[in-house]
Formats: sequence, C-alpha cells, structure tokens
Amino acid sequence: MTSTGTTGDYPSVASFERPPALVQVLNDTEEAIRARLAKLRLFDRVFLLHRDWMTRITMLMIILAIFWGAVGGFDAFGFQTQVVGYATSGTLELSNQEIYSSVTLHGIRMLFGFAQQLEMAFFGLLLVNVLSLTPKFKWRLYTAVGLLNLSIIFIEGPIYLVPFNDNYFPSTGWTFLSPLGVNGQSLYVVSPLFFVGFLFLGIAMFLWTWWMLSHFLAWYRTDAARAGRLPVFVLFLLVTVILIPITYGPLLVSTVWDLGTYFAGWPINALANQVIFWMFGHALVYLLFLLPVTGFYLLLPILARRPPYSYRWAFVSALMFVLLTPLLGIHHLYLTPLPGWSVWVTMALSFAIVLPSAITFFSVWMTLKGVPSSQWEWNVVALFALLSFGGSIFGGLSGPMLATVPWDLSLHNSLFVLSHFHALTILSITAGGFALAYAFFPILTGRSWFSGRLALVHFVLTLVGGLGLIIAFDQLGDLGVLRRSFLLPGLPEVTMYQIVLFGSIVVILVGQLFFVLNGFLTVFLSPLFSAEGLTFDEAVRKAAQSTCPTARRVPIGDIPYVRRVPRVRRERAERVWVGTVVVLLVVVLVASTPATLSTSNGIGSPSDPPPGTEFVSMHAQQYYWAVSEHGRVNGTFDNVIVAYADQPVEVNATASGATQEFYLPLRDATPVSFEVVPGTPSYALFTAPSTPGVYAVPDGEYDGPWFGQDVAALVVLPAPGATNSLAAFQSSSGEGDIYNPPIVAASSADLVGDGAGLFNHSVPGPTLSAAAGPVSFSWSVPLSSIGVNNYLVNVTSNTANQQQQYVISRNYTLPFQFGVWAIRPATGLAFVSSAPLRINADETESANLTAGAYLYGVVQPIDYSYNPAGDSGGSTGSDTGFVMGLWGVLWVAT
Amino acid sequence: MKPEATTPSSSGWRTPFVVFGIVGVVAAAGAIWEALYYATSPALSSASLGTTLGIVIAVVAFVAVALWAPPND
Repeated sequence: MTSTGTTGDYPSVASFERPPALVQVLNDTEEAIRARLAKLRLFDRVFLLHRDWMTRITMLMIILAIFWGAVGGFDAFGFQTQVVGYATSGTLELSNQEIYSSVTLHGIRMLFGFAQQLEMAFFGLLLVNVLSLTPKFKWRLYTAVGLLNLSIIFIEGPIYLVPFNDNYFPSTGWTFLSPLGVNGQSLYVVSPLFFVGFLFLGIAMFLWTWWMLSHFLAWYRTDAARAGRLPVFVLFLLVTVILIPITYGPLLVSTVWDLGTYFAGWPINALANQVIFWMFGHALVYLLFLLPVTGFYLLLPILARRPPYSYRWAFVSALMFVLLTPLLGIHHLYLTPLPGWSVWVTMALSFAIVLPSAITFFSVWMTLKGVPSSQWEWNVVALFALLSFGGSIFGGLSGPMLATVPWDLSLHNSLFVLSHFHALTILSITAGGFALAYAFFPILTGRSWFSGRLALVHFVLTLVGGLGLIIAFDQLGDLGVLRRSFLLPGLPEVTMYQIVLFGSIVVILVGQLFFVLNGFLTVFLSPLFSAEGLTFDEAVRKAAQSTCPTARRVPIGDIPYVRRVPRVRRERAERVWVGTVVVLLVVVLVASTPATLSTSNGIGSPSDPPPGTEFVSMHAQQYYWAVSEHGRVNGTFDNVIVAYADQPVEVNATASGATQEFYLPLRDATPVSFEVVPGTPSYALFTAPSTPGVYAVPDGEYDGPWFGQDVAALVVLPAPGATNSLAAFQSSSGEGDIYNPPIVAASSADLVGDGAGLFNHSVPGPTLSAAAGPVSFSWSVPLSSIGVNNYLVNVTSNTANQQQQYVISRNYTLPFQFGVWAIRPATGLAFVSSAPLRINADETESANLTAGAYLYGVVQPIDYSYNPAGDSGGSTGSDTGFVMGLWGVLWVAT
Repeated sequence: MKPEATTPSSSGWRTPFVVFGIVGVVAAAGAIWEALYYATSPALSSASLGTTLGIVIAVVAFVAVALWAPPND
C-alpha cells in the first residue's frame, strides 16, 4: 500500500537542490520545535511528531478541525441556553452582542474551522496517497493552514482583558449581508478584523488550491498517460479544487468592497454586493457537500469490493457540479428586488442541480446492488456512510422546497431553512466526514481504533441528536418562527421545541466526546496498525474493521471481480432514472413559473393599485420602521401600519443600515414577505386580513444586536360602522401569525417590563382590550429588569448594577413619555395622555376613551449606544440604533 | 419494462443494497412529511403542491428504477 509517508518516505533533497534560505530557516526552526515537543509523549502521540511533515500537518488539521467543531458546538449551546432561559424564566445571562455573536461564530467555526479544514485534510491526504505522489511545497501548505486558522481568530474580533469585555465579537451573521457591519453605512459596525479575517480565509483557500493543483499537475505530466482513467472519487477531488477559486474569488471581491467602504468610503451597492457574496455563500455549501460525495465514491466501492456502478454518469455528475454550483447564489435573494427573470433563471438552475445529486445517489446505491451480506461488514465506517446517505436524501429533498419561489415566501428566513441546512451539515457532511475519519485515522496514526463500541455510541448519539435537532427546527419553521432571534413568541409549542432543540444539541455534543475519547485512547493505548503487504483497499477495510462493534468480521482481502452485467445495461438504467428526473423538474418548473414571476416582479416594481388602496411608505431603520400613509388612513407612525379589513395595501419600502424583511407570517391565509435592501426600493401589494385585529410584522432579516425587538404591528381596523370586537380575531388565532401579541383585558392586565425592555416578553406588548368609556390598565417596569440588555437605560458599563444606579440617581424616572395615543384614521396619532417613564413603581394608566385603536407605552424608538468604558471605536466596532419595545395596542370596542 | 432477474448474491433483506434502500426511503419519507405541512394547508398548498408531488413521484421512480436495474455484477 502507498504510505502516507513515514519518516523513511520523507522526500530527499539532493545536495545541489538546496532550498532557498528562507525555507531553510523555516525548516530548521520547525525541526527545532518539533524535536523539543516530540520529547513529550503527549505531544508526540497526539500530533504524530515522529512522522513526516505531510502526516503531521494532516493530523494537525484534523485536530484543529475538531477543536473548532467543539468551540462551534458550544457556541450553539450558549445561544440556546439564552433562548430557553428567556422562554422559560425570562432571564438572560449574556448580552445581546454576546448572544448574537455566538450564532455568527457558530457558523464561522463550523463551516470553515471544522468542515472546510476537515475536507482539506482528507482531500490532500487522499490525493497524495492515491496518486502515489511525494508531497512537496510544505510551506505553501503550512501557510494555507496557518492563515485559515488565523482567519477564524481574526473574524472573532478583539476581546478586552482589562477591563474585561468580550462584547465586540461580530454580531453580524456569518453571511455579513452588506452593509450590516460596515462603518459609515450601518449603525452596527463590526471590527475591521472581521473583514481582514475573511481576506485571510480567501487567501488561505487559494494557497491550498495551488498546492493541490501543483501535485495534480506533477502527476499529470509524469504518470497520467500510463495511469489510465482517474478513480471516480479523484474526479470529485478535482471538482473541489476547481470550485474553490470560483467560490472564494467572489468572497474576496465582496470583502474588499466592504473594506474599501469601511475605510475609504467607497460607494456601495448593497444588493450587488450581496449577489457577489452569495456566489460564495451558496457554493461553499456545495464545496462541503463534496466531502460526503467523495467519501461515497471512495468508501462504498472499497467496502463493497466492486467498482462504482457507472463511471460515465459519475463523470457527468462531477461536470454538472462544476458548471452549476457557482450560479445558484441568487436563490438566497429570491425576495429582494432583483429582476424577475434572474430569479426565474436561478430557480431553474437550482432545480437543475438536483440532477447531479440524483445521479450520485442512484449510482452510489446501485454500486451496492448485488453485494451479498456475507461480503459486507457493518462497521462504524459503513454506518456513518449509511447515515450520510440518508441524511443527504433527507436534507437534499428539502432543497427544491426552498428553491420554489412561491413556496419560499413561507419558508424564507424561518427555522425551516435551518432544518434543511443542518440535515445537510450534520447528517450528510459531518456524517460523511466521520466515515472518512474512521476509515483513515488508523492509516494516519498507525494505530487501530481503540474501541468499536465507543465508535458505535458516537454514531448513535450523533444520529439521535441530529434527528432531534432537525425535527425541532422543522416544527418551529412550520409555525413560522424566525431564525436567529432569541426573543420568541411565548407559545407552549414554541418553547417545547426550543427545549427539544437544546436537548438535541446536548446529545450531539456528548456524542462527540466519545469520538474524542476514542481518538485519545487510540493514539495512546491501541495496537499498531500495519498496512504492510496490503493493497490500498485492503488497508481501508482493515482500518474500518477496527471500528466494528460486533464479533462478526468479514475478511478484508480483495476478491477478484469480473464484470458480468455489460455497461450498456447499467447505463440504460441510469438514463431512465435521469430522464425521469428531468421530466419531473421541467414539469415542476413550468408549474411554478407564473407564481414565481408574479412574486419577483411584484417586489421589484410597483403593481397597479386597485381603487381604495392604502399607500404606505416604509423606511426600515435599525431597529424600527418609519411609516407614512395616505389613503383611507393618513398619518405617520413608528412601527405601526394601519389599514382597514380587506383593504388593498401598497407598500413602497426603503432601508438604511441593514437589509430588513417585511414578514407577515399569516399561516392560515396568505403570507407576505419581501426583503428591503438599502439603496434599492422594494414594493408589495397585498390585501389586509379580513378580520380586524393586531397582527405582528417582525423584521425577518437579522439587522444587528437589537434584532429581536424589531417587530412592527399591522393594525387592521373594522369597516366604519362595523363591530370592532376582537372575538373573531381571537377565534381565528389571528390568521395563524404566531408573533401576534396575546390579547388581555385592560382591566386585568398586569404589564411587567422584562430584561429585554418588553412587556410580558412580548413585542409588541399584549394587546389590551376594553369597552368604550373609562379605561385603565396597570403596568410596571421593575428596577431589577434594568441591565445591559435593556435599551431603556443607555449606560453600557460592565460594572455591576451601573444601569440601575443610573435609574436611582435620576429618581427612578427616565426621559421617555409613557402614555396613550389614539390612532385617528384621518390624521394619524393623537395625544391622549402621557408622563415620563417611571421605574420600579406600580402605575395605572386611566383615560375616558371612545371606540377605536390606541397605542400605549413608549411609542417612539429610543436612541441607544453601546460604548462601555469608551471602548467602541475604529478598531473594535460600535453598536447604536433606535429601539422600540415597550409598547402595544389598546383596542377599545363599542 | 421487464424486471431484471436479481442474482442469488443480492437476495436477503440484510444486504447493503436493501439496507441503504430502506434508509433512503425513510429519509425521503421524512422530507415528504416536512413538505406535507404546507401541501395540506389550505392557505399554503397552491405554492407547494407542485414541488411536493414532484418529490413524491421522484422517490417512487428512484425505488422503481433501482429495483428494475441490473445489479452491479
């Protein structure tokens, strides 16, 4: 078998080929460090310091991938503790900045530190071994790996040790949708280190690609002619290498543009920048998906002892991945005001990329047809390959759902997206990565796995936790729950699925501990693994056998294989399958076209309004909507849109600071959803619900650390003269919009402010119902609710209780008017009563009111600036904005 | 189309082909279950029904063609 390169395989350098002086210095330095560390058994065993450089760097990459995977897992754990904590007890331990940055860093660490790095480690190892190459260009690879890991540290941004402050992590989302985070463009400004980190990441990937191509070209010049055709899995290695520059190139363009805007004030076109970014963002997922695909084409033929079903169709699949992957980014921007034709073309291409996946999974499955059970061993490599196969189908089939534009109106930015995404990342990509890890770890370390049972426990917990997580995300998505926000509707089913989600994360994390434990025990206690005299396939089967949890073993030896079924018959079956899929895709595409064009054209340009339309101009600020209306309702509002039941509403929306989404999740009627990107207006023409009431309209697109409070209300008034009772609204559950505030009688209302600056954990606050005449309701904002996450007090010191001290020093009175305002359809808001906001007092608001809708609370956004110890600035970032959360609607019936 | 004869070596429910097939079908059923929430909702079905039906037919075809196809012998 070709070795991964033991010490004896270390490439010799002839005396007349002395390396350049810099390389020699680096080599000498590395050797000095390696020799010292190798004296410590722990380092020597774990990092394989006695082995050649290629083995060492591969092992280092695997360990770093596991490290980032663990940290990224705890990021998700940390976020979910806050979600569950707020949902169950109303308490938050972390600041908004920390909570949202944990989501950002979860994505960054998992995608790049874990998955991308793991893929690079295995693909480099496989290429060198399978093509029997002598690894070269050591420092090119070292630099790529160093930059990759450094990039993740840079993306984190600065941490202040004295006084301690870790709140400048990026709260941007890993997608960093421009202009969010860009100085001069957004009220949330991320540290420039964030963008520098992405530059490093792009450069690292280009370096690695160069390293891979150098080896492949060296092989091509010398051995390709006599080697015959490449193994299928090597085709997919090449697909990866080709796609990386196509993928990471747009990232560099998008990042340089953002940096130019950040420091030099370059003009920015946020929509164009997002299109460029998503050429990277989407293709990245397919790059990582090539890890299990390559694993299938490598491992299953080895375990089955027979070649892939059809080489030609595998080649077609590889080619289609290359051609289609870079073209799908716009399907993340379906609901933006892009031209309708571009959206339709992207939907067609998104359907088309089903084909290479369909070919792959058919070919992979058919590779196993005819393999007797007596020749197949159910070791953990096979089990993870099985899980990855099922996970790919499960997650893959929800791709066309999201790719269907009219359906995406209901799915976009909901937790359903995360169900699809995590089905692919956990059950497909990660499971495929583990199949490869279990197969190649013994070959890499020279030791058999310590325990098949530990490996089995790892498999079971990954399966159980992964399924639980995906089902919980799916159910929450069905309800219309938005991703990323930690302030969720206080419904029992939402809380229950959040707890299921949290439990599933814990199960997954515990499962990975068994993998790490098994790895440690392997390098310290396991017997040596020898591939002496074995073919490559036999060595892989021997390694896989050491993960077998049962006593049943299948001999690892190769079996002579002679083709009995001619190629033409196998390819005929492939053609029938591919033909069926093509026909289905065309039919679905044609069926979806009218609604797709209608949706897209309606966002990009105004529709013809019917008579009686309410014209609404909305400007999305961070973190509220400024609304101006004319038609049957006239006036200006903050976070409130007013319309009559069944009235057509035409919205003309613009945004500044961040992309935002108008999201009216009417699950029992027609959802309304469109994105508003700074610099490009969006439009919508919809009919207001037929049932009068208060409908919540959350911002569906993450726009910074006060995202959760960014919820508006659509107040639907009854027709003049009609009854304005909320009974019909309650009986219809508000058309299925789970963000609707709960309805409580004003007389019995007990409104209590919480740590997020909301009444009763709801934004808008509970809708108060009352009969015309004398109306009163009680409310309080306890001093205990005032803290760093409460925007009502603009003191962001890290010193304990500084916010509360501020309140006390001002005699428990804050300079915001709390009161009641009437919504007058003819003129807008009309003052009824108000007084400065009192803290820590039981207050009663009383007024004599006629029938109609009113706003109560603090109905204007509050200017907020996060700046503890004056740390906010050019190198750290800053966080300001206008937050409105302590308000609601008072509904007075006749 | 006439079904292909399966070889004796591929018979039995514990062969990898059968096990992978069962897992694939269960996984596909899971995805269809996810889709059914929307396809059966009176308000949301028109947007989702076409794609859902396409997925269901594709899964049936996937299994049917695989059973009909010759083994990898």
